[in-house]
Amino acid sequence: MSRIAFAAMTAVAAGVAFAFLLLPLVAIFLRVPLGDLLDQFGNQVFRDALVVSLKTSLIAHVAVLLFGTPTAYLIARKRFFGRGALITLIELPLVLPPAVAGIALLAAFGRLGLLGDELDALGISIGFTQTAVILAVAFVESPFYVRGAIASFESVDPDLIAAARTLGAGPWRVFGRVALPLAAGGLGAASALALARGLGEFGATIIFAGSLQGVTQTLPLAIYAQLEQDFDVALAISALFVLVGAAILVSLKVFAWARHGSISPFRFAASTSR
Amino acid sequence: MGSARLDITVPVRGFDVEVALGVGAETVALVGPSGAGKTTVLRAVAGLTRPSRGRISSNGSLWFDSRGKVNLRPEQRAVGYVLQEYALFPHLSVEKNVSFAGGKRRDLLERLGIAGLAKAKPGELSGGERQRVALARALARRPEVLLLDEPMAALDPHTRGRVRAELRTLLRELGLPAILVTHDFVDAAAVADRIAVLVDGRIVQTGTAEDLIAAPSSPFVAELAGGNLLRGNARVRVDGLTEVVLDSGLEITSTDEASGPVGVVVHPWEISISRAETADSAQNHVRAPIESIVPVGNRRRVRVGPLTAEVTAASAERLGLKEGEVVVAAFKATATRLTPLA
Repeated sequence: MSRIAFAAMTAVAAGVAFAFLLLPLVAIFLRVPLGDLLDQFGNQVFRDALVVSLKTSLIAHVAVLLFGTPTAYLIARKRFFGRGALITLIELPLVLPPAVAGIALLAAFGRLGLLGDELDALGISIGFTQTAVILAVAFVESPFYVRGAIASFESVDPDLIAAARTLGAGPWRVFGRVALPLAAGGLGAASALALARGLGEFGATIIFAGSLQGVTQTLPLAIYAQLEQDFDVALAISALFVLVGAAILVSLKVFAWARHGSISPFRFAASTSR
Repeated sequence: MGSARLDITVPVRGFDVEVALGVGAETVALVGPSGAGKTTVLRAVAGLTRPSRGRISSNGSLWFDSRGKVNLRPEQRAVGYVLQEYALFPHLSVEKNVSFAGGKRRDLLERLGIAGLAKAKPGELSGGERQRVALARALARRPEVLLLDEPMAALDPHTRGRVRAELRTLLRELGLPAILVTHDFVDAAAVADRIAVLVDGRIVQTGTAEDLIAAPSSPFVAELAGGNLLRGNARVRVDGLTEVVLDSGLEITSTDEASGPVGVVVHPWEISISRAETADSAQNHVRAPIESIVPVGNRRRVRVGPLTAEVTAASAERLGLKEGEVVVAAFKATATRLTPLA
């Protein structure tokens, strides 16, 4: 009796949870016919936002990969004083509200911010430009990448690094021929996750970069802007996000399954404080 | 003819590994229990762990000298290091693993009999094949010193014998100074020219396998080398012989001089077995039931009370030895070694 009650309870809970998560997503596609949805992609607001989003996310993502990968490698390989504190610092943006990130960026790079005078003297103004969007996106997505990358590099057997060194490989060769290829799967997963997070960036961007169509208005900002004016455009952009997000998740899982026979690519290893 | 010399202190968790060793064109086995610091010694020679003191040299050139501030990086030392479990690069083929040190080495693939596996990935290989790939890869480095960490540990028991023989032949042909780390005395005895026993970071004895078996310097070495080890208290009798009262109450006589707590070492082949106590010249007789009879080649290892005796299969047959039967194990006082217990 109690077994049946328990089974029924879990089934009901799971049913409610799935319905709650799925219903809003399905609603996006049901509210407007698919054909009308596709028509919205001809809308100028959408096109401008798409260009801004792709451009800024791409530049931000490349920067995150270029700076984040060596950083993660360093942290994964070396044991030094303050390592735990450093990792915590990297993780901090993860738990901060994006709005706080926006304020923090303003306080650092804004006209009245910490580096405002110096940047002004160089004739550089960052606030409310595409550079600001790039900084906001990079700031918010980088912990997603760096955390995953640290875990990936840590999962490379130190004996393999040792073997490579005794075989005459200097640091570049050890990195390029052993560490990087062996961590590649995890790095790819972390990179995709960070990219998805960057594309969806809203709070920090709207505070630090504003929402100027064609300049700083990214796709998530366009959704917000169109909410009052043309709900169908907002819906169409949202639908696009659902599809892109699903595609990223599915490809990650298929990739992980093909590599390891496991379905979860998200290996956030114990890299907190060791 | 190469040679390597090391005289180093390496701090590890809880204790110091302090080792002085000269290795000519020979294979020296470092044998000892796990945690004794064996791998630490290899890592120090390879440059992966930095000693706190001492020097390491190969063919007269310094690799490490704490006083002269010399410390070559691993990639600058000509070592061939076969790591524990081989550490083959899983993403590279056999061929690419071997050529990692630079240059295609078809000759090495041929020599180690793995040319047919050139395109295979390490994950597809058996333990024995992996070991040969690891050896080929280490040799491709054109090493002055060869370091082998438990090269037989990952093998199943019936390929082990063959691999031991192969490895011994290969090492002889190479004529390189080689340090082999193992916890298995039989592996060491089969492959190495000399054995150094490492306990708690110190070499307690160095010698050939025969030396260690015949004259173990400590109870640990005796046990490692496979003799019987009994514990007791010794005192010298008026007739000049030493009498040892074992913890079990049994009395043993030895020609070795000792007093106080000792380990009594008797080799299994020094012990004879008979049905009844006979008037032979042996001073020591232990009467006990047979606990087990284990065939080892053409011999039988017979466990009698606290002792393991080794008799020929023919003798065991002739006496009709069976488990559970009470027999007498006899050994001479002159074959009874005493080692003081600290």
